[in-house]
Amino acid sequence: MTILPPNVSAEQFASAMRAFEAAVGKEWLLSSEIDIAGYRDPWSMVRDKPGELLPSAAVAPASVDQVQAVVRVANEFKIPLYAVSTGKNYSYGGPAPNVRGSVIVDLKRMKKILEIDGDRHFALVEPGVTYFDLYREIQARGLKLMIDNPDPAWGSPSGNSLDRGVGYTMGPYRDHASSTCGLEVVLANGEVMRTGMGALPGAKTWQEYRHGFGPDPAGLFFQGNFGIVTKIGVRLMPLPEHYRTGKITVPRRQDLHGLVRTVNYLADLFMIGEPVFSSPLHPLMKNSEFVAEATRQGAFNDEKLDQMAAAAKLPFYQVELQFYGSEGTTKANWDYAQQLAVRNVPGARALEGVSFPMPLTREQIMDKNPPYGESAIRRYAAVAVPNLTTFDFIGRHVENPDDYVHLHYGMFTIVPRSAEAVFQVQRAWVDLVHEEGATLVTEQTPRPSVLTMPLQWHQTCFFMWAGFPLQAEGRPMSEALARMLELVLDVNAKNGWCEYRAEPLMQDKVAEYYGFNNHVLRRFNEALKDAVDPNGILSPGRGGIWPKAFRSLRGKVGV
Amino acid sequence: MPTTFHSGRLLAPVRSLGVTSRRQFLAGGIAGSVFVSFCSARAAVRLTDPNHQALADFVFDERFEHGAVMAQGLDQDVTRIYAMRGDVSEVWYDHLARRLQTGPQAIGGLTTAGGLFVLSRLGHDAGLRLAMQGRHRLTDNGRRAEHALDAPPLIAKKFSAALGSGMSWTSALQVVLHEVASRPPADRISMMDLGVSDMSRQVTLHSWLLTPRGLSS
Repeated sequence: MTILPPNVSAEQFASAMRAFEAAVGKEWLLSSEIDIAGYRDPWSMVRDKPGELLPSAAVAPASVDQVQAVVRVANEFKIPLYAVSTGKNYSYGGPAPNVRGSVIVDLKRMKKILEIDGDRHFALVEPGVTYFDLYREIQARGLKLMIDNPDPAWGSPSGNSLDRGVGYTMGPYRDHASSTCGLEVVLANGEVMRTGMGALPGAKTWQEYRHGFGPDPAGLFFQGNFGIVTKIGVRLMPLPEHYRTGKITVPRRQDLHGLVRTVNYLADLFMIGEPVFSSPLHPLMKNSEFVAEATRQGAFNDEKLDQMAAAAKLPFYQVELQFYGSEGTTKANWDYAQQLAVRNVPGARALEGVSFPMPLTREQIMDKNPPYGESAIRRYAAVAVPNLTTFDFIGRHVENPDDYVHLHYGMFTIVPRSAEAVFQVQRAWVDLVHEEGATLVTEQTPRPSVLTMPLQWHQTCFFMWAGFPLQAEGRPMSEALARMLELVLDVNAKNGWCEYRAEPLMQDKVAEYYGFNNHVLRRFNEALKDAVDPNGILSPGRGGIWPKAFRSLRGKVGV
Repeated sequence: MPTTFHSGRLLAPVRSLGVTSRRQFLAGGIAGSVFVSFCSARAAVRLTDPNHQALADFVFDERFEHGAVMAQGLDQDVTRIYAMRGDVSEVWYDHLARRLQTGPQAIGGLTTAGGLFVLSRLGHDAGLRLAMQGRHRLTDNGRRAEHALDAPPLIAKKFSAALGSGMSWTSALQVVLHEVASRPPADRISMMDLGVSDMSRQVTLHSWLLTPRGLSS
């Protein structure tokens, strides 16, 4: 079955294919059904339906020159392109484009690590360089640097940063978009532009001062469609001498206020890495009386919940802290964190974690006897060693006897970094389940409850996740489940919360909520889009930004 | 649609089913992937023959005895055999990806669904395409298996015949892998769909073969 881009005839498409082939070579024009199968979203909500977001073909340029040539062909034939670096963000649609029939620009062959500076702590890479590649090159050169990778790590610093992905080490590095410094971009007209200091011919500080002079348009290329990024600067953390963990527990539900206040203070002084909030009360979710209280509609009875936790001799909430530095500074910071926690929450208790020189050995990462049961996946992420162990949770086997599904589909809601906000989210989502019969999964819990906890992937806010496992007996992404996502979006927006990232099928829906002053932000972006990409060839619809040529498709993605 | 078969030949029980925790498993994986075997003389001759495609590498998940059994059987026929435990990172990045830089080659395996999912996508990036996939649902503590094979019809027929003749399914699979690897890159199957779980409550192993794409595909 041949899929064509919108408004392009079979004859025009055939001519375009010949031109693309001339641009990248026969081997790197991928157009058979099996070739483009690799660019499907494996968990698409509309898989096998007429609106499935399949590409018409893919091209894999090896150089900036070839990217420019591809863009020129697309302009000539009015063919929408969709650029991916590795296309491995499968929870967000993978390499599937916003517009069915787009030609994928697969940048996997652009794999040059152009520079790594072990003293000034940055790298300059092409988009096909993966986190594995960068990590291994740093090890091979013996540099005292540390990457901050997502989990799983088979994506690229370019793609993950441009999609505003996250990691698990210190705050400034966890926010991958913010830790970039300097872009090179092929614009829709085929010109090559560099942002920040890169605009200065012969600049020596492209990866050290991101803003350059005057307005900085770099932000347009994150979750955007204004150009194809062909080089990206990434700030890297120096490898600390030491890694230490510690856990703080608090006995009562309302103690979360003091716990969050403690963590915020430590985080904003850059004394801790990613804090991991959770509740030790999960075993009580097998107790129907506790479940009834933990998921009570309307209002929670904190006194009763506290009594149940105390009867089980379990604290209510806890946070695991990560410390990076020297052995002495990590010890001092951990000591101080304990003092501060007790000051803010008199009943707080501390549990010693691990204390290892960096880099950790494999045995230390795989610790057979972790002090409080933290997983190796967690440890891998905290010390930024790329791995793909997440995928071992696909399917039932000896290590996954309950067929626990680690892969998710859902939305990460940005909420204030306060206990009050966490409680409001718990309330809103528990009520949503009661009122709408929604079957949501939330972080660490199979349904919203008082145990639904925030993630602090970004230092300055909380993320709270609601979603669904990706596997089920039937096709999971049914219209009913899509409706649940929309219900969550709606409830969130009523509370002043929204998502930070979405797959193509949901991008218009999310963008719709960012509608301050009659959608002036979207109108501004689309005015820019029409000016710099008059044919609308670059990723139309991405981020909810539709060029004039494709604007009629707004709200119809996947239909 | 896949062709389905049943086999009931006895194998040694799958070891430690259901008793190893995830953490224990990860600890057990400390040694990383194991490079089991180098090229046999017979296989080396075959691989240097440009007119003969061959199975060059075989990856198996050593947590399942069936993979080890296949590896032993294949040892004389393929160049390299890799054992791994769940995470394919090291097998791919340290070995297979590097070798693929020197030229396309066929890679077969017997892994979990996760291993197949990752390797089929990394393989796709490297110019390989899925040429065969089998699902082997283990029952009776691994002593029996039910099979569903996505493969060219003639190959599926041979697999069925081999089972019917009393051959073990792991031996029959070796035949299938070699047969498919030696064919021109015409018959292809779709990439694995992970959107639907196997709800059988049984462990399922996945056999697969990735072969060079070829410009005509």
